[in-house]
Amino acid sequence: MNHEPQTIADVISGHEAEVEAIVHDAVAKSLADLGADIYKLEWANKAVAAEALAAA
Amino acid sequence: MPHILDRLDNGRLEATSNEWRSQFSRHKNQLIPSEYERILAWAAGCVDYEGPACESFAYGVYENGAGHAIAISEVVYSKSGRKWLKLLDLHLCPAVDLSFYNDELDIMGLSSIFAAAIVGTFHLTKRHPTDTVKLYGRSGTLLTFLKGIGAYIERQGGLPGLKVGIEGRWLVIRGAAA
Repeated sequence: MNHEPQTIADVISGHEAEVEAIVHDAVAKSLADLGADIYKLEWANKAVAAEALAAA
Repeated sequence: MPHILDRLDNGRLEATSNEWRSQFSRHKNQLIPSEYERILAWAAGCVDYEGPACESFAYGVYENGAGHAIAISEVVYSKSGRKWLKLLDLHLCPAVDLSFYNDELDIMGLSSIFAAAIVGTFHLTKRHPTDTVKLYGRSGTLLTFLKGIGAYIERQGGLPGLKVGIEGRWLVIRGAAA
């Protein structure tokens, strides 16, 4: 018998478009809700760090 | 979605390295090239997707069939014990990083990149079998961002067949049967 659990990909099979739409809207809403804090996201730090480095 | 998550094969890795170097060389006074060189070097060592010992992988986020990645995701898969797939980090290309700094952020484009990384990680469970995907909230702001995603999904009635919730610094997505 196969006791492997269903993968996430198995579970969303047939619902891909619905999942993509909900996740995309969730990401967009959460980014918008961050407001000015969006610039504190980890990914922006390389540019900020460069400015600090130049000022040092 | 205009963006997809996919492997970084040798050709794509070279194209991505060339594009990223071109971007940061144009903005040396605003970006730290060594930061991106470190990411590219790490990615080059994490593209052995079939290696039996490998648990850390680099995947690219691609825009509309472009040959180079606009972002590189850092994914970890546990091969022993309880299996899970973790999205640890998402490294944006220099041009997108710079858009934060220059106040030229394209929110919808950024949403598409992040959503592709998340949904793409769901699809990676075909290759790395598991019923659990975890997204890491490395910083306080990133954790707030992930909490916002979870809350929105909950307000929409959830994702079909999945349970979504925050556990510590992780946004966790599990099969409802798990």
